[in-house]
Amino acid sequence: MTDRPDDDALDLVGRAAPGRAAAARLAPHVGTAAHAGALLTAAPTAAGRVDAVVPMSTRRRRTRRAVIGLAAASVLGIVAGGLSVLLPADTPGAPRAAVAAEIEQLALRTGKAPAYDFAPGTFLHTVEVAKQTSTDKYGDHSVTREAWIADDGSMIRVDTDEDGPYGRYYRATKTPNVNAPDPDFLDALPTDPAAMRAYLDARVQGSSSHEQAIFTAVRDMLRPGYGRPEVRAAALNVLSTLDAVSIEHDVALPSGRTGTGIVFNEPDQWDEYTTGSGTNATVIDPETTRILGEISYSSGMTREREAPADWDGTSPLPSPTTEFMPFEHSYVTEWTVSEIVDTVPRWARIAASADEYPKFRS
Amino acid sequence: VNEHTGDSDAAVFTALYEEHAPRVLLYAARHVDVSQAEDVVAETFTVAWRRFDVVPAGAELPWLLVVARNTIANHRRGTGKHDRVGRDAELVGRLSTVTEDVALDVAERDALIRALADLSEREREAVLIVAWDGLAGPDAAKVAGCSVNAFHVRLSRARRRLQNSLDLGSRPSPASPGRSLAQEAKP
Repeated sequence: MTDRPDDDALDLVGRAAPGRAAAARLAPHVGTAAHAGALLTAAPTAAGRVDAVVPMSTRRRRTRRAVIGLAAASVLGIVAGGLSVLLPADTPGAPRAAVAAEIEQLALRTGKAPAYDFAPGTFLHTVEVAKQTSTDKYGDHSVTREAWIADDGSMIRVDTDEDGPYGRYYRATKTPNVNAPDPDFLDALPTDPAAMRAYLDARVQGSSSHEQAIFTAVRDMLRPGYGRPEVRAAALNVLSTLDAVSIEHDVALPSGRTGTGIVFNEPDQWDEYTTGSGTNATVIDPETTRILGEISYSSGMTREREAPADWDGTSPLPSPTTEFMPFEHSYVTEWTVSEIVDTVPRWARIAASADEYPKFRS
Repeated sequence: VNEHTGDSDAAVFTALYEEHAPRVLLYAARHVDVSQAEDVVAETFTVAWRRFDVVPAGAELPWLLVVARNTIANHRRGTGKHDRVGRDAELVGRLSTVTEDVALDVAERDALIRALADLSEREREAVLIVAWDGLAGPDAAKVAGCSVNAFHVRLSRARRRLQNSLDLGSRPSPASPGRSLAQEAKP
């Protein structure tokens, strides 16, 4: 038996269904953006809601805010992983010239690789599976991120963890930059490696070192997969100029795929709470030059001090209250799907009425 | 725009509200007065905002209607059952007068309202969840607040009774409460 109105009686009832116009006659303001704004203004700020819509990494940081030892550890770039064997922090790496030559070869292939056929009206659909492992009390965590990216760089994403979908993210790239590039932004960048390096030198910031900031920028530029091959090649070539970069072959990802890891070896760091080191790697398919995944790993010693229950985050905390303990963090993420599609799911089109996401209108 | 800021979330919420608030309003307006229905909409979407993470992707409307149903139940708490008898049928009658389907003439509408009024509250709700809210199967059962099997039974019984009433619709039935309600509902 079906519940659909396929007989005369239900069909007649259906024809009498009041629609949007009827709703507008009953209460003209209901359903308008202005009324939504009024609701948001009146709604209490709900910490639980905010926790639910920020990414897990941010959620974890919020939890950790009061734990200064781990906050310091995160400066190391926390990540890498099941690669502790493949990517120990003290990996000496191959001689510089050989590393540079291999990266230049990868860049050469990147420049000849076909670009995504990222036409207007299509979307780059990606599925990313990420796993974080940690020896500290925060333990392990896995998340799957499924995203649809329009040709203007706007993105809609849903994240799912062990408990099911927990957050949706919407990004309208109004101010693209090297760390959040849209296709047009990437296409306008230099295709000459020296010019690209100069461009990045003038703009990158925010990491533990200038070289790390360059590595991070190139990683962020390559990650989406779009952009002219010539630009992607120039960006990859820049990595050949970084002293802290090494190459690892046949780096295995969780799915069993292997690729070439371009590894950034972070220098040892220490402070009152943490001493340790870390590595970050972008794993590239050596044949297609597509990005397969990213791996980060850090290890060392850390100690903590717990914040008082009423700590507001602004007042000084007491001295460390624990002894140094070893820690090890890893983060492995792999793109299991990366394809051009011409449709997005219905829920994603909910954003259609928002001016920021014109590409997602059905 | 930072993807993690509240601004983007607000935009998504606004889109969700624009798409579904009218339907939630119409659902509420067949159970409570329009002024109360507006409150139900506001409360429903306030819950949605606070629990944005659990609003199921692709099944937002049934989730919202379940919240609206619970909100209406809270509104009704303290209202005597006597006051509610026949109330929903009257509200349905009022709502049906604002339908956009011009092909449904006054006589058809009157017959329809009469037939709907003759159904039990649960049967009528089952019919309208399917025919007006566009839901089916488990989603419809959730909004009705019963099991899928129970919903099938209600709907099946309601269909038969509805069809019988419509078949008899040409017969004058001046004493029918549905008819009088329909006449009241005319603008």
